[in-house]
Amino acid sequence: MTEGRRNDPLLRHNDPQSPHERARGLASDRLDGSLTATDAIWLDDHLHACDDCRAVAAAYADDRELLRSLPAPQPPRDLWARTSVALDRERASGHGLASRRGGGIGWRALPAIVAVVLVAVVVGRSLIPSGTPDATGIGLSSPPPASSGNPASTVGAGATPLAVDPGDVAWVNHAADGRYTMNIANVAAVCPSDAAPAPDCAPLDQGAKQLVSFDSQPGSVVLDPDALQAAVVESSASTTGGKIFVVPIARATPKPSPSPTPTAEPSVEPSPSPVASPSPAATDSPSASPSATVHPTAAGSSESPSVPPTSSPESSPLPTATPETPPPSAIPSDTPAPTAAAMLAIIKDVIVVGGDAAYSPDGDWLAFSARPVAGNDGPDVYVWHTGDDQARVLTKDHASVFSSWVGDRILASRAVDMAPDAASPDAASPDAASPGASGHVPTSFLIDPSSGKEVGTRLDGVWRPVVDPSGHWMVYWTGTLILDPVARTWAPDEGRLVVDRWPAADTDTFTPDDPQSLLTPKADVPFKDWEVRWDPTGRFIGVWVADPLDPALGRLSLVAIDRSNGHVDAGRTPVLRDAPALPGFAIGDGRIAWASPPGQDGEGSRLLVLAWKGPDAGRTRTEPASSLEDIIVVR
Amino acid sequence: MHPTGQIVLTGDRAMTGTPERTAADAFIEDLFARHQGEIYAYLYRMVRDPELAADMTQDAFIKAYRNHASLTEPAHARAWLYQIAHRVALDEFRRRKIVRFMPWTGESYGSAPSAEHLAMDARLSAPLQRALDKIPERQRAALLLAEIHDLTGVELAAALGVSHVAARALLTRARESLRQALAAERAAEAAAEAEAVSAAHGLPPGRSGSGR
Repeated sequence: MTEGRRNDPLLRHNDPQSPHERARGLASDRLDGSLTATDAIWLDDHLHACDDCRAVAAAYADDRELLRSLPAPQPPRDLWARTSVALDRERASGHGLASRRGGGIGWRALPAIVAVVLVAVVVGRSLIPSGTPDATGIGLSSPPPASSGNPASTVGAGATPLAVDPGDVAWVNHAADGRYTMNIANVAAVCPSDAAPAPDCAPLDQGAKQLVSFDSQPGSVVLDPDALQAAVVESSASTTGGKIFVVPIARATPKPSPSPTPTAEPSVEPSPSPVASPSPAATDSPSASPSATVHPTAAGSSESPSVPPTSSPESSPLPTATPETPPPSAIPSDTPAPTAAAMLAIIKDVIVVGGDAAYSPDGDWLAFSARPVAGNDGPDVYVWHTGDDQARVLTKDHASVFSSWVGDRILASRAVDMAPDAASPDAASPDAASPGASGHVPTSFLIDPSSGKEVGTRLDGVWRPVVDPSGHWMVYWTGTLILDPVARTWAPDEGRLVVDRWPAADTDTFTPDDPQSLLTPKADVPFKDWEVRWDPTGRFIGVWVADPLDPALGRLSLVAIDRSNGHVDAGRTPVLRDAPALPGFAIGDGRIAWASPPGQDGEGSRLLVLAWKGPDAGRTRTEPASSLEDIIVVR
Repeated sequence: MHPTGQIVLTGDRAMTGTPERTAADAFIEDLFARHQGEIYAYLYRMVRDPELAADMTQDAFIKAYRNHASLTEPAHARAWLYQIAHRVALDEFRRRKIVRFMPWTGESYGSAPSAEHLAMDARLSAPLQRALDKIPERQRAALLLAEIHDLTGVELAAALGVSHVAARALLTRARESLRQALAAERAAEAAAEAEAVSAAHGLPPGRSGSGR
C-alpha cells in the first residue's frame, strides 16, 4: 500500500462512496472521452497515489484493446436474400409500415414453416460453380451495393415457392402409438428459411407417407439404394449395446406429397436423386416382394443360442448374429401404412462405432463396424449380404472401423501404435492399449467384402476416409488418434480433416498429394467425432461435427469444394454453417437434410431440408416433434 | 423531413428504381447496406450463434422497416438501429427456452490457420469469450457497443434505451465485471497449466531427480 493511501482517511474499498469507486468510474469515463478537466485532475492525483486503482484503470484499457482484437464475424452470404424475402412478405402482408406488431418474424420464432416465397437469390447463387457470372450483380457476401439496383427485384414480384428437382426425404419419428415410424415425403418446392406463415407452403410432413414402423428405438437408419429394405441400428448405451436389424420396405409408390404448389416455373429436369430415400426406381415394381431380399426365419429367436460369425476364429466372446423371429405382420403391398415389419436381426449385443453403417452402391452388402458390448475387445468391420441370416466379421484385430464404400470394396481404418520402438506397427487393440499410453496413428485399407481380404494400397496416415462418388477426392482425418477408454475405440487427437486426391491406381505406398484443410478444430476445443458425406456431384460436402460436451449433438455445415484442386471454395462456402443438428444427415443432388436437436428454442426435433436448384435455394421442414425424442434422418 | 432524406446514399437509384419502390424501401435497403455487417457482428457477439445471429439481424431490419417513421433524427439512424438490435437480443434472451445448450465450437473451414494464429486465438480469445459470457447480458451489450462498435455518449444511451447517466454507470459496471471475470479466467487457466506441468513431470517416489 502506498504512503498516500495510508494517509487517506477515506480509503475503504468496500465503501461505495469511496474515492476508489469514484476513481474507477472516472477511469471508465476517461476511456470514453467524457471526463471533465476537473475530474481528470482528480483522477490523475488519485491514480498517482493508489496502486490498485492504477492497475484497475490499466486493466480497463487493456481489456478494451483485447475486445477490439477479437475477430470480426462476417455475416452469412445469404443474409440479404433472407432479409429481402422477408421484406417482400412484409410488404405483401399489408402489415408493412403501418404495422407495429411486437413479434419478430424470424423463422426460428415460427412454430412451423408455412410460407411461400421464392428465394431467387443468394443461397442458391452461392452454390453455383465458381465462375458462374452473377447476372444480377447482387453481391453474395455484402449488402446490396449502391449500384446494384433494387435487390428486391431479384426475388421477383409476387414471391413464389422455389421449384426444385423432385426428390424424397425420409425420416423416423416416435409415433403417437409408441412405435417408431419411417416417413417419406417428396420435396418438389421449398420455402425461404425466413418465411412467414402463409397458407400455401405446407410443412414437409403434411404430405408424408408412413412406410413402416418398428418398436426398437433407432440410433440410425440406412436405406439400401433400391429402397427395398432399411438397416436399423438400435440406439444403445455404452453398457447395454443393441442390435442391427433389417426391415423390408413396402414397395407401393408413395404418392408425391402435396407440397406447396409452385407458381414458379416447374422443374424442367426432374432429378431422380433423393437425399437418402427411396429412389423412383423403387416405385417401379410394386409387385416385387420385399421378402425376396430379407429372409427372416422362424428357426431362431432372440433366446436361441448365438451363432458366431462364420469367419471369425476368435475365441473371445463376439457379438452374436442371430435371426430373430419376425413379429406377426404382413408387409403391405399397395398401402404403405405403418406396420410391424418383419425384422431380421443380423447382429446383436454390439455398439456400432466408426463410420455409419452403409449399403454398397449395388445394394447387395451392408457394412459397418462394431464392438461387442461385453468384454474388452475393440471394433471390427462386419458385412452382411442381402439374403444372409447374419452379418459376418471381416477383420480380426479388434482395432478396425468401417469408413465408406469405394465401388464394391470396403474402405476401413485401423489405429496403429506409434511407439517409437515398434519395428513394424501392429494394430493397436484397445484391450492391449492403456489409457494415457502413447498415441496412435491411423492407416486405412480396402477390403473385398466377399473374401474379407485386404486389397489395394494401404493408406498410411489416413483415418476414416470418405471418397467422393466420382472417385477423385477423399476426405479424411490426418493426425494422431487417442484411445477412448470408455468407448474402447479411437478418437481424433491432434490433426485436421483434409481433402486429398484418392489414389487412382494401386501403388506400393500412399503419398498424400497436398491435402487441403477442410476443417481445423480449435486448439482448445476437443474434436470428438464427425460425419462427412459427399453429394453425388462431388462438389459439396456435408460436415457434421459432434459437440465437445455432448457427442449426441452437433453442428452441420455444407462446404463447397473446388473439384479442380480440392480446395474449400472460400468464396462460396459454407453455404450452411454450424446448423444445430443431431448425428446423421443425408445429402443428395441439390439438397441436404438434417434433424434439429430437441430443445432448441424450446421445440421438439424437426427434419429440415435445404434444397437448391441452379442459383436458387430454400428450405422446408417438418413440424416439431411433440416429444423430446430425436428425429432420425434416414440415409 | 423524411428520414430517408439523409440516410439514402443513392438517391438517384431510389428515383430511378421500379415504380413500386417506395422511399421506405430505399431507406431500408441503404440502411442494410451500411450497417448489416456491424449489426450482425453485434448480435453474433451477444448470442455467439451464427445462424441465430443472422435471423436476429434480419428481424432487426424488418423491425426497422416497420418503424422507420419513428426515426425522427436521421443523424441518429445508426444508434436507432443498434437500439432495435439490442431489443431483439434482449427479446431473444427472454424468449429462449433452451433445453439442450449447444456451446460454440468455432471450427474453421478451409485453410488451416497458422500455428501462431491458433496460439494467439487460444491465448486471447478463449478466456475473453468465457469472461464475456459470464457477465450480465446488459453489461455485455454495453461493453460490446462501446468498446467494439464505438458507440459513445448519447449513441450508447440511445442504443441501450437508458439515460446517458445510466449508460455510463452500466458501462463502468461492465468494465469492472469483465476485469474480474477475466482475472478469474486467467487464474483458473494458470492453475490448470500448473497442474498439467506438475502431472507431466511427476515421477514415482524414489525415482525423481537425475536418477543417479
